[in-house]
Amino acid sequence: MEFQDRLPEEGINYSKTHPLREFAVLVAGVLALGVGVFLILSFLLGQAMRFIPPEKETRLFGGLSDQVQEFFTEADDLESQERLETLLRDLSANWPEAPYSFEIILVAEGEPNAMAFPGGLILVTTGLLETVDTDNGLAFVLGHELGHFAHRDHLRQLSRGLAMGTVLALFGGSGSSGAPNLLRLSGEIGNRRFSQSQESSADLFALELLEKRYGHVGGATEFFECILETEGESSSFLSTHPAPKKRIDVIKSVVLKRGWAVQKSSP
Amino acid sequence: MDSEAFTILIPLAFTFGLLALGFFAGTAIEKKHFREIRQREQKHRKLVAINFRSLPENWQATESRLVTGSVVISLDYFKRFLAGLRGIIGGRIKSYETLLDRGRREATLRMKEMALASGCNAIINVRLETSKLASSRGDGKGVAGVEILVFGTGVRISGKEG
Repeated sequence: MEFQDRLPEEGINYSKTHPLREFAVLVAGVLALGVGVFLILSFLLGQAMRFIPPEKETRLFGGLSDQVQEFFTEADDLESQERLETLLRDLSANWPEAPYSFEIILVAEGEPNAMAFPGGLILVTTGLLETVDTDNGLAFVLGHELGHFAHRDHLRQLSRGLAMGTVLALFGGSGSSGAPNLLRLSGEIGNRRFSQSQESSADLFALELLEKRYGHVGGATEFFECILETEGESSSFLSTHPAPKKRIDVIKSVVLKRGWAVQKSSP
Repeated sequence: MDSEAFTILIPLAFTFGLLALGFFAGTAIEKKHFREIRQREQKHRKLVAINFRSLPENWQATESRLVTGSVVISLDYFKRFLAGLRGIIGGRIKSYETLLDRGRREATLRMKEMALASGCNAIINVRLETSKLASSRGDGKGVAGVEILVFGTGVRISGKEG
């Protein structure tokens, strides 16, 4: 064969695949892998969770109560404190399977909020008492926090965090820029959506508890309606809690479906 | 849109912004460079660069000198990102292949241009070397760039054109 003096073609030492195609394939592949490992780990941890009885949970997180109280200033309002304790007691009386005894503390904080901490601690802010007037409205909020305990949401969050951390450790060490970041952000998006579903479930638990305690569900949406008035529509797809309007709609549709009564709430 | 959403949206936008920048800028530069390389390769085809250690028998050299061509290249964010993903899945790091091919060919062309400028018309004993340039990252990971060096002995062969 005669020697032909010519330049070789392009693409011998490199691939002519379009970089965007490479990008799409790789991102899809890594996300699929990450999600797969995450789901398997979450499932396994979720199963393991069943072997942690509530008493153990209380022991594990018992010290939290003191730490939390250091962070917040306890409100100096004995009357409201007693009112909250009574409400909680009457409410949880309708939940006989309650795994632990609950402690409620009123803290001096302007922002209306209620928080549940693992081990049975519930914090309520003075801001909440100013926003929600009626007993029923407050009972719904307390019931929502009880719902987090009922569904063991704290342990679930912990196990999700563990699973996520493992996935990031497995995949993040390849010394790259951006790829572990992307995984972390995707994980966070998933976390937000899951958190929203947890909040919805807690809402439904609160609704049922309210119905058992009062015979009707008036006042259930009081808190959300006040938030809507003061802050407007601020939550979104990526928030940890569903939008107030959505929560109101869901509650109303459940009430309709179950045929529950809605009476005036007692102040 | 609330503040919780921003804690995700801002880093996400930042990452994709950098990726887009790397992709668009990098791809445009790359296309242009490959076109230019091909032109110059065509132009310098007559000046052979071979990696025989010694002169072929029928060549008579009147001059010889060291000729080198080197190029220092860095990666854009997009390429690095793709390589990182490959680090999980494995396989050809196609994003690096184009970069290194450009680097090698550019360095070779520069060597040829140096040879031409020094009056040589052939290059023997051609070798290639690649060195990593240390990055300034605290954890010691990553590279700032890569230097590709192509060198050989430029010779003036009597009886050859050029």
